[in-house]
Amino acid sequence: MATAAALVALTALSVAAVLVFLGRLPLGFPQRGGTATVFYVVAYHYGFAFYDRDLNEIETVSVKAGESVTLHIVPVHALPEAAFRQYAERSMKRAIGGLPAGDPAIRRKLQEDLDLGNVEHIVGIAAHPVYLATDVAPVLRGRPFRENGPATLREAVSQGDPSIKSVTVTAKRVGAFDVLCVDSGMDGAGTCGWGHTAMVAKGAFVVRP
Amino acid sequence: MSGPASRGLRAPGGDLLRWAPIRRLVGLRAFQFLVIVPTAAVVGVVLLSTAVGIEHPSFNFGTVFTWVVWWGALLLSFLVLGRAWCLVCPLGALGEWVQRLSFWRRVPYTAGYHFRWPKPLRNMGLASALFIVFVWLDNGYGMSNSPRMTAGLIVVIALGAAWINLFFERRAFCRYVCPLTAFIGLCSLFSALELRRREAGTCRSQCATKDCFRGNDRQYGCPMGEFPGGAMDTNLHCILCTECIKGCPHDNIALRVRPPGRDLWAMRRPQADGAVAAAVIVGLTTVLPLVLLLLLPSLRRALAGLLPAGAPPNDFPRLAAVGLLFALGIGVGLGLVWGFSALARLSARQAVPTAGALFASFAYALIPMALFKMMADLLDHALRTWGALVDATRALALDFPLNRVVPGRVTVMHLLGPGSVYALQSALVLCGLVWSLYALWRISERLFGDRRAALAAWVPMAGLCLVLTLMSLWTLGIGLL
Repeated sequence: MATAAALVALTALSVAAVLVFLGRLPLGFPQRGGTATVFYVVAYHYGFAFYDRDLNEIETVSVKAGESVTLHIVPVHALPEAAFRQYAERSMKRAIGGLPAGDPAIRRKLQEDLDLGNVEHIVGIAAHPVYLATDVAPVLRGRPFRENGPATLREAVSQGDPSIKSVTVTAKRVGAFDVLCVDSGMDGAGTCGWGHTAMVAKGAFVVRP
Repeated sequence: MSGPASRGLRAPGGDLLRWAPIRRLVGLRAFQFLVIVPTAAVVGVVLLSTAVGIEHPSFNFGTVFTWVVWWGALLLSFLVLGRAWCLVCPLGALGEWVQRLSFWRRVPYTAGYHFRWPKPLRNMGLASALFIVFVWLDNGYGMSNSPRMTAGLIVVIALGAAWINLFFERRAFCRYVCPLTAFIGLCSLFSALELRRREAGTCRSQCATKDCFRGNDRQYGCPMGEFPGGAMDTNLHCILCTECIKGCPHDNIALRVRPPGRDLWAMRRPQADGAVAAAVIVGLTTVLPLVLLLLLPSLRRALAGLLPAGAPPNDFPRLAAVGLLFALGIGVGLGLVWGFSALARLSARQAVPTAGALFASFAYALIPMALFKMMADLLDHALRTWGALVDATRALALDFPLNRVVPGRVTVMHLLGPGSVYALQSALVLCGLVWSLYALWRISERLFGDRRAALAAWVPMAGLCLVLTLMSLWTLGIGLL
């Protein structure tokens, strides 16, 4: 009797483990139901641009405590080369990696990263369960820039481009939290390359009481 | 200190069980359960964190704790405590609890079928093969950087222990299957602690029941199938569960402090399976890093034209290349130990012992070299990932126990510069060399009555140790060049 009970219990546990392994039994904890406030975040080399649900650019993502927020992360490589360059120009206006703002070396370093294939980011928000890896390799198909993809951010969003990743989170802690690229090795270099350490929007996720 | 007052503070003759507090503690029926509870709690948090927590390895408490803290503590524990991890391991205990239907009490009824473990598998073969897979999962798949794989490993080991112990007698999983059992057992030969019978005569002439092996109505017999009152003369399979201490009707079991490494040269019957496992570990720790360093990039490129690409870093060409180089590294390791054993026999100019017998004895002596090399590898990792421990603990505290939130930036904190780290690593590697050379000498002395023949047999093996040490020093220092 005891053996039979142990056999049944172990079988159930093993089946559950296999289902989890195969992805048929999700282990994640579901977010509370209801509508969420939507924001878009463009991750570029080496920074972030934030947009509201109507795609108006905003300085910060500002929500109330307890509010449910859906963030759609748009990697800049989802867009054509011209858009990539436009966003990259924003990096030229900042001091990065010990180089002063406007230093042509920043542009060279950025190009080196592109040549090395350092095109992915992992977007995180401090003190929140937001950890989302971009995956532009399938849409780039070995090319340095997207071809025949959406021409604008609006088009990418309206078409539901496959490179856009989304996460819904309930803002619980009050304060201003950093939005940052968190992927890096022990040497501090990340998958986006040289300017990784500059890829942080200080206090850009604001949770109001 | 002398006199009755101080007597209770020291363990006479190095026997810790003569010290009353320790004797009382290990004499508790629930002793093992009590020491497993804290470990089980930590493993529970680790499992939750690795299964559902953040996938960033430096922010995932379970990953950092498992591969830096636990692995480091495991290596250090071999020096002093032997298989102490097995005493507190909740994964093996899970199998035992399923089998015994009890956490600590001796109950007359049990679950399971209690089949005997198949005879062809009563050796270290399966465990050694699984240890190779375990190391390959890290070198190939980067298991130590993957929270989900770490969780998978814990679940597979726990379920494996439960299933196997449900069908087979005693702790068959811990003895024959656990991917770490051969490694832990062999490294524990180095330990400064041993559990043995006190008086051989007492066991031989006064004990008819052999309770340490068979158990009785109050205690279980040795869960590892060892006979502490009989042939057990090494730490190889002793998990320090203390059942024999509680079960011995003659109070004839000792827990002694001794010079480290004694088992390596004092074991009466060195077995070939253990020697092969030892040579495999030596190959994995000394030859494999060199082979991977020299050949992996070119072999990966060569295989890229033959195999489908897959997604890096775990692309098929890389996985296949790592697999092939594992076979090469282990093969070279085994070949070197066997070849130099044969050379030792030739050098000693004696027909007996045979090359096989020399291999079976000498291979164990190389364990300190492998153990200290592993410590040197981990030292570099620990000193570089020190910041990760802080990050991961912070991340866990922010979202206990699920560990889902990002704590901020990765803290890059190198406690020492590369030169200082290499100096420490070299000291560890040389320490291993010295122990191995000493163990080889003691074994050689035991095997050859003639001191000159012993020296002649020792010289080639010492040469092998030197070569392997130089290989280790080179691979550790390549980053400095």
